Amino acid sequence: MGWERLLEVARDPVANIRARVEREGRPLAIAMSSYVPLEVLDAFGCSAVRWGPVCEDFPRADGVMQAYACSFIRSALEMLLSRNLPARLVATASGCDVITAVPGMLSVARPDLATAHLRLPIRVDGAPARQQAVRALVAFCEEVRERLGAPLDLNRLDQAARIRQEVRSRIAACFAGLASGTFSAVPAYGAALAAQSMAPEEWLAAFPGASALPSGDGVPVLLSGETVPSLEVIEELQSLGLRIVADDTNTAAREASRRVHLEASDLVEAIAVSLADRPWHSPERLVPDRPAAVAARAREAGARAAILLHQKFCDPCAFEAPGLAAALREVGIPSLVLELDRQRGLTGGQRTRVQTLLESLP
Amino acid sequence: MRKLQHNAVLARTIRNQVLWTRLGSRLGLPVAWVTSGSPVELVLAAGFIPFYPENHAAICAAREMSQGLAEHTEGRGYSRDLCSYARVDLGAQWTGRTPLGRLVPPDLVLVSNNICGTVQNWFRLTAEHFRVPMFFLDTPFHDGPPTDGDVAYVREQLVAMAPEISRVGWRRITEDRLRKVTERSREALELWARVLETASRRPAPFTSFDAFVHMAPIVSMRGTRRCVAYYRGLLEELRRRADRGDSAIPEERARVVWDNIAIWPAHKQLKKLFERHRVALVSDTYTSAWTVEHLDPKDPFTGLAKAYTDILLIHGVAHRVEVLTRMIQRFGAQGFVLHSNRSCKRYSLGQYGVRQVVTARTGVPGVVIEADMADPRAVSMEHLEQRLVPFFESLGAGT
Ligand code: SF4
Ligand code: SF4
Repeated sequence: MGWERLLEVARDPVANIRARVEREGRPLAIAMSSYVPLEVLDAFGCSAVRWGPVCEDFPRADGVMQAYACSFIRSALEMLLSRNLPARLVATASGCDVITAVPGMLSVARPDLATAHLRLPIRVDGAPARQQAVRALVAFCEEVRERLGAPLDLNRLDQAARIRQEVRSRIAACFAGLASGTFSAVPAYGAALAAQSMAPEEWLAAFPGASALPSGDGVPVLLSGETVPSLEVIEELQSLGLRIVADDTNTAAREASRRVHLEASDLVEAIAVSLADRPWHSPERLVPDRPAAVAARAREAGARAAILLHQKFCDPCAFEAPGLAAALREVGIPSLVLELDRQRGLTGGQRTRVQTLLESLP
Repeated sequence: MRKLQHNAVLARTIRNQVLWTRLGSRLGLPVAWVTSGSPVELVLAAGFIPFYPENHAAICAAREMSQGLAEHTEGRGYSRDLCSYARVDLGAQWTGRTPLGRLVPPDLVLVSNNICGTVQNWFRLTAEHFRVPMFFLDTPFHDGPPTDGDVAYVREQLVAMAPEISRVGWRRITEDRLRKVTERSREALELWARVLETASRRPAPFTSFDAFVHMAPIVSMRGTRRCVAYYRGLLEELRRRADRGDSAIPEERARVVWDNIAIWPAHKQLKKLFERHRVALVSDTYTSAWTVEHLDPKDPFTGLAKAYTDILLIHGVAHRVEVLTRMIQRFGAQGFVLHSNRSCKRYSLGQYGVRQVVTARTGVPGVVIEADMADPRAVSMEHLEQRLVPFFESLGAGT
């Protein structure tokens, strides 16, 4: 139990998902985006997980999708096409142009697999966007109900929303601890990665607390990016002499920042609003001041450099990178883009670039 | 094989449009830079002159300027994997280099993500560069038909942005003005649909290679009288050609349809390759991407909301399969070509499945070719020939 268990799951999420489905005997629902609320899938009686791991070879995915899509999605396709996991439902949410292509591709390559798409707004400002989020989530629930032939259990939703929120709060606390030095990156990312595939109850039972794991030495940095492909990447980065003090990844702080108003009279509506109002959005949403906000957060956390961990062919990241680098530069923080493609860890060249960045700091 | 007389009209129309934009802006008329899928009717109703950066990027590519401009953008840190239209147009904005002589700066930009997620980033950078407001119409992507909720969301945004756009324009957007513009858009789109339809005649008097260039006015001038007049003239000429039995391809032997944007850096060579093999490219998904059925002058806001949530690229694979299947049947095609365009993920991802299903449904074979619409570094004529020539031969067409 404890960290051992969380890190074990973080290192091999696929094995854990398989064991979990066997244990729970429920339909496996895989969310391909951090904008799919797992609590809703829980309330449909599913074993709900979020896709996270990246593999290095995609022989089957290459047959259905061009090579100029990110490895994150191609890995998910590979896993689905290899039937490595007994998935019953794949849930996507509006976002980049790669993720929107997934349901259509699956309808041809895996017609036996149910899909549901959450038509969330891309703009996140104001009332129309919130209203659209609510309409979209209601339509999504209807789609899932039809596909699974199971109703949304509102009691279970209440429970699931609470417990998932608890998990997110604890993950957020781990990451808050990075800046103060009371917590270190490997367990923090381990906790976040494990939460993607574990049952939330099991995660909470295993989680030993967000304190007393002080970080070691190293140059304080910000880590930004869509997806952290593996725990190895974090370990490798740390081994190069840096210490992550602030996070801006979808895997961790961005997703963990979402809060649902649990006392609201209409919980579905409250969940929808929590998605539109997520404090830390991803760059595929239209949030004009995102780079400045990330830079401010990095400075506040005392970061002296930033690593932008991007998936190759990820358009939202590629568009944001120069502006984000400029915003960071403006607050005195140099940055480096590491583009990952078909890899769970860093290449030799990437390690050298990180070292050069760290050595060049005043 | 006689050349289209309307080619000269097209050149004149584009030249006049460029001059009009320049003159209008000098006279104080506001200019709006808009995406091809945004509701241009709104800015026209407010008295703006619209300018289409996507069109501009295509012109840069056709005039062999795209590589240098894209490289400039890449030099500023933007990945080569991003859409080449965006890289080319941003390069033109930042360097001031353009085949049009000079770019007329915008007073606002109007963007809709109904074609892709790229444009919101590209136009945000444009708005920042020119320090002008950006109006963004968020249109939910969907695989099936748009829901009433989707349409309501888009309508709400249109109604909310109209007074804001009016403030930057030189006249207020009224329902009456919007109605007039919408009516002209509808008329032009109907004419354009009929123009494209002429290629169903045998032999085809017009091919998609012609359509790729003659679509410029429908992209950049719909909603205007000039656009209506342009397509009326083109339609008349094509009908005359069809009645005379004039063929766009000498001794047409096979007919195929096309999916995706044209490959501008190889446009002429590809056209020749098709001609050499007597293959008529009779229809495509790119030039017929708009629908007219929803545009409703009686209720222009709702009509616009429906029309702009129902264009080709807002839909997924199922819709593309429908469109291609219909096209193959309507135009009597024996094959289809899928341009896997590395610049345009929204258009291209999913094509492998589309090929499979369309062939299963129609019995007609398809071929995937890898290229790019505007970046010559990602276009190999050798690859295109290697893929297309055996395909043409399998259709019974040859040199
Ligand atoms: S946002 Fe980027 S990493 Fe995420 S699915 Fe899209 S392309 Fe892939
Ligand atoms: S080519 Fe594709 S990615 Fe580029 S602007 Fe057009 S639709 Fe968007």
